[in-house]
Amino acid sequence: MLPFLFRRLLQFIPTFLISTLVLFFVVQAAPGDFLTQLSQNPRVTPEKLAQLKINYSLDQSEWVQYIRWLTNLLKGNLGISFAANQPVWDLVAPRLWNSLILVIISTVLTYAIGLLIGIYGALRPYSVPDRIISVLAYFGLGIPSFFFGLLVIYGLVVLKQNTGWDVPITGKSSGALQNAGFFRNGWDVFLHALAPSIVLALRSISSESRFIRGQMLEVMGQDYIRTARAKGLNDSIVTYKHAFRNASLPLVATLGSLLPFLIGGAGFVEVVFAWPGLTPLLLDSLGNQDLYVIVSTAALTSLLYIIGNILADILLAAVDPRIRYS
Amino acid sequence: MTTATSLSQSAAVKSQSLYQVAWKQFRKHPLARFGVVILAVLYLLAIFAGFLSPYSPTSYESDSNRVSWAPPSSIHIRTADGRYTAPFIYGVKREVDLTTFRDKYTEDTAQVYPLRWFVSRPQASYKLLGFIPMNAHLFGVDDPARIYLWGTDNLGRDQFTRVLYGGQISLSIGLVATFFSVLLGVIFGGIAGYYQGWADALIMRIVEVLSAIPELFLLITLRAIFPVDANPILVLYFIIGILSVVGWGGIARTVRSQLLSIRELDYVQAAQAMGAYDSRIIGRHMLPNTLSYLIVSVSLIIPGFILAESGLSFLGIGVVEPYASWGSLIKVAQDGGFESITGRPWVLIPGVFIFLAVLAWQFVGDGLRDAFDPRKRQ
Amino acid sequence: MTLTKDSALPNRHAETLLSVTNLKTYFFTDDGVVKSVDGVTFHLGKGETLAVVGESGSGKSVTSLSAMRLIPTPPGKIVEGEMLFTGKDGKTGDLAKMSEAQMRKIRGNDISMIFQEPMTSLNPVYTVGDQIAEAVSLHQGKNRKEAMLAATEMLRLVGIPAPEKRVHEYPHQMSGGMRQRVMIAMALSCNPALLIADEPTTALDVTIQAQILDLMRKLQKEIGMSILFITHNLGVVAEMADRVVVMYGGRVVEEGDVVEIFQAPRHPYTMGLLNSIPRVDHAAEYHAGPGQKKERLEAIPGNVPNPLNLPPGCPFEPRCKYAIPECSKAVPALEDTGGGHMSRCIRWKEFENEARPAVSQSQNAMGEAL
Repeated sequence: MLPFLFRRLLQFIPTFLISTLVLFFVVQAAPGDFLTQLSQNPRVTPEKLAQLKINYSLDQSEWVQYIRWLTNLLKGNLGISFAANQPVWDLVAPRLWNSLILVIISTVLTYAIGLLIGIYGALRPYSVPDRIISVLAYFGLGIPSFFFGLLVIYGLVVLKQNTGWDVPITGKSSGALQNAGFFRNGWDVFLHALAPSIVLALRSISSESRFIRGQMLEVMGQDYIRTARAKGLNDSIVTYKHAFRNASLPLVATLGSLLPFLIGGAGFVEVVFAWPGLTPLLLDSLGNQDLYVIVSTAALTSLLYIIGNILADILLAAVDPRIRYS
Repeated sequence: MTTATSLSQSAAVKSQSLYQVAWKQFRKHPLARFGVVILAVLYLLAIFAGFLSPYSPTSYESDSNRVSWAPPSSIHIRTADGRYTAPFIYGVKREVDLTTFRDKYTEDTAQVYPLRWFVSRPQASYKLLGFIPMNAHLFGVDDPARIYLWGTDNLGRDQFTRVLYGGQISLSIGLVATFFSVLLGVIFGGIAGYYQGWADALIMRIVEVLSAIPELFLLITLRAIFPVDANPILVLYFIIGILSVVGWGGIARTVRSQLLSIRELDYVQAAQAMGAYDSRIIGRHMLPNTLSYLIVSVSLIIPGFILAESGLSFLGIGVVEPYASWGSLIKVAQDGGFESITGRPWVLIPGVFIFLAVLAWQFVGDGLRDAFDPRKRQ
Repeated sequence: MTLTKDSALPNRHAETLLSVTNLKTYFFTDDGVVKSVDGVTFHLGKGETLAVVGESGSGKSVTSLSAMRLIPTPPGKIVEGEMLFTGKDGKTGDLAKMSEAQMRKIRGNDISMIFQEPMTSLNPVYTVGDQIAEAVSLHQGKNRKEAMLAATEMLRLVGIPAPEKRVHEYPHQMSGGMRQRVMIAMALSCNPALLIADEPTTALDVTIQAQILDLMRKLQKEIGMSILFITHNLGVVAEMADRVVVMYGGRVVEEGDVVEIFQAPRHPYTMGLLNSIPRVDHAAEYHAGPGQKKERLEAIPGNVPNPLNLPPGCPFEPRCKYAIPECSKAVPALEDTGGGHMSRCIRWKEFENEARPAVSQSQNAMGEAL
C-alpha cells in the first residue's frame, strides 16, 4: 500500500509543476502587469514604482520569478498580494473558510438528499414519484446556477415584500450583530449561507441522485442480488447490505474530485449572493493582475486534487476487496 | 439456390446497421423528441432573428427620449370603450416616481397604435441568413411608439430583439467550441490511444493538468490573457478558443480508452493478424466503434459549453458590447441591487432561454445515449 | 389439457415433495404478453432427482424461479397454478399463494438454489464465509461466530482445501469451480429439502463439471434432499436424473423415467435432442474418410418459436419432420403412453418400438436445404 501511494505521489509531481507553470505563464502573458495600473496613479512617483518593481521581482525574468515563487511555496510561503499588500495566505484563508461554509453545507445536503432519492428511484423505477424526481433532476441540471440564484433572490424579495419574512440573501452576516455570542453569530452566518448553499446543492443533488439511481438499478439486476434473495434475506438487507455497498463503489472513486470542488465549486453562487468567498477575490485579482494570489490559489487547488485522488484510492481499497495495491 | 437467396434477403431485412437501430430508438425516445422540437424552435428564432424582431439589437435613444427599464408593452384587443378590435398598444409616458426616484411608465389611452404586420424599417436593416439585405420585420408599430414585448434594458434597447440576437451567439458559440474541442480531443486522444508510449504519457498528463484546476478558475485565468477592452469580434474568438482548450480533455480521454479497449477486441486483432494496414484498421474498425461514443459525448458537451459561455458573460468577462449573449443579457439583472429585480422581473427572461437550450440538448444527449445502449433497447 | 389433471403419476418415490400443477408464469412486456410458462405440471418425490430439459427460452428457468417466487415483478407474474410443497417441518403449503414473509422463511432454508454463473452469483465485496454464514444465522438463529464455524464446515464438506483460510477469502480470489462449490455450500448450509440447480455446470470446464456433479450426488446421498435439475445438457441428465421433464415453448412435451426417455423417446423434439448429441461409439462414422459412408450429427432445423407469437397448434410443428396437417390445428394434450411416460404429440403411438413413421415430404425438403 505505502509504496503504491508513494508512487502515486511521484506521478502527481509533474502534474503539479505543469499546472502551476501553465498558470504562472498564462497570468504573465496578459498585457502589462500590476504596476501598469499603479503607474496611472499620479500620487505614485516613478521612484516608488521602480522600488516596487524590485521588491516584487517584476524586473527579473519569468523563470526566475517562478523558481522563487516555487521555493517559497515549498517553505509554506504563498507570496505577497500586490493589491492588498499583505501575505497571500492572510488574504486567502478567510475567503477559503467562507467558501468552505457554503460547500460543506451543500455537500451534506447533496449526499443526504441525493442518495435518498437516488435509492428510492431505483427501488421503484418508473413509478410516478420517480418520474417526478427525474423531471426535477433535468430541471436542476439544466438551470444555470447564477440564473437559479437570481430566481431565488427574486422569490425571497417578493416573499419579504408580501409577508415580511426576512430570509437573509446577501453577504455572510448581518452587520447589526456586533459582539453577539459565538452561537448567535454562527446561527446568523448559517442563515445567510442557507439560500446560496441550497442553490449550490441543487445541481449536485440532481446529478448524484441520477448517478446513484443508475448504479443501483444496474446492481439490482446482478446475479448476486438474486443469490441474496434466494437465501431468504429481506428486502432491506438485500438493498442496503448487498446492493448499496456495490453501487457506492464508483461514488467513492469520484470522491477525489470533491476536494478541489470544495475550493473552486462555489463559483457563480458567491458572485450572485455577494458571498465573500474565493471566487469574487479571484475575479478581483485577475482584474488587477495580482499574480501570486492567482497562482498560489491554483497551486492549492491542484494540491487538493492530488490529495483527494490519493484519499479516494485509499478509500476505494478499503471498500472494494478486489482492489489491492501491491 | 432459391432458398439461399431468400435466406440472405431475410437476413438483410433483420440486420440493420448500428446507426439505423439507434436512429429508430432515438425517434421513439419521448424526451429526445421534445428536445429536438425545442432546439428547432430556438435555432429558427436565432437564424431569423432579424426578421422576427422589430428593432435593431443595438439601437437606443438617449436624452429625453430614453426608455430605460421600460416594462413589456401590453397588447390590447379591447378599446377603452369596450369594443374588440385588432391588436394594438397604447403610447407610453415616462415619469419619475418621486418616492423611489425610478422611472415609471404609464399608458396613455389617448394614443392608440395598432400592431402592424410585415413592417419595413430601414433603420433596422439586417442580412437574412447572413447575406440577403432586408429591412422587413414580422411586426411593429408606427413611430413614435415602440413595442417592447419583453421590456427594455438599462439603455432602453428592446429586450425581445436582444434575446433573439443573443441566441445567435449563445447557440453558435456552443456548437463551434464543441467542434473545435472534439477536433482537438479526437486528434490527441487518437494519438495517445493508437501510438501509446511517450506521446500517450505526455497527452494524458496534460489532460490531468486540465482537470486538476477547477473549470471556472481555468476559464477566468485564460480569459485574463486577453485584454478586456479588445475588439468585440476578437473576444468572441477568444471565448471559443478558451472553451475548446478547456473542453477537449474529456473527449481525448474517452477516445483513448475506447481505442485501447477496441484494440483488444477479437476482430481487430484478427484484422491485424491478417496483415491489414494501420489506416484500414483505424478507419474501418476503430473509428466507427468510437463514433457512437463520440456522438453521445458531443451532445452532452454542447449544453456544458452553453452554460460555460453564459457563465463567463454573466461575470462580465465573456461576450462584450455591442454583442450580446443570453448570459450577458442576464448580467444587467444584477444592476442596481437585489431589490430592483422585483421592479423589473422581465430582465430574467434571457435566463429562461439558457435553461431551455441546455435542457433540450440534455434531452437529445440522453436520447442518443439510450439509443446507442443495447441494454436500453426495446 | 384435460388429461393432465387426472393422470396422477405412479411415482416410484412414495412421498411427494413438490407438486406443480398447471403453473402459468407470464411476462407482461411493452410488446405483449410472453407466456414463458404456460400450464406446466410435474411432481417431485422425496430424495428424487428430476431433470427439466429444454433449449433456452423453453421456460425451464422461469419454472424454477417461479418455485422460488423470484420472478422479477413487474414484468413477470405467476398468473395461475398450484405449487404444493412439503417443508422440513412436515407442513404442506402452496408456494404460489404464500406471503412474501413465509417465502423468505422457505428460501435458503427449505428450498435452495444454485445458479448457472458462479463468477457473478457471489457478492464481490463480502467474503465467502460471510455470505454462507448470512444464511446460517438467518435461518438457524446462530450468532456470527457459530455461523462462521458452520460456514467453514460447509466449505470442508464441499471439498474446498484449507477451509479455515478460504472462509475469509473473497470470491475474486477463487476459480470458477471453487466458486460453484461455495454456491453449493451456501445452498446446502441449512439442509434444504429441495435443491434447485439451474444449469450449475454450464459455465464450467468439462473436468470441473464432472467433479461438481459427483459432489452433488454425494451430498444428495448424505443430506437426502431432492434435486430439481435444470439443464439443456442431455449427458448431464443421463448422469444425474431419475426422471426427466422435457419442456418446449413453455409447456411440458414429454415426461418419464430417464431410461425410458433415452431408450424410447415418444416426442419428436426429444428425439431431435437425442440425435443432436455426438456419441462416442459413432466417432468413426463422423470422421469417415473418402469413399466411406459418412454419418452426420442431426441438428433440429429452425429456431425456438417467438414466445410473443406462438403457432396455434403444436409449438414444435414448424420444426418437426413428422408434422402432419392436424398438428397445426390445436395444442396436443399431454397423454400417458403407459407406465407414467407422458407425451404431448398426437403421433406418439407411431413412435413405439423402432418403427419410425414416415417423414413428411415438405419438412424433409426443408431439412435438406438447411
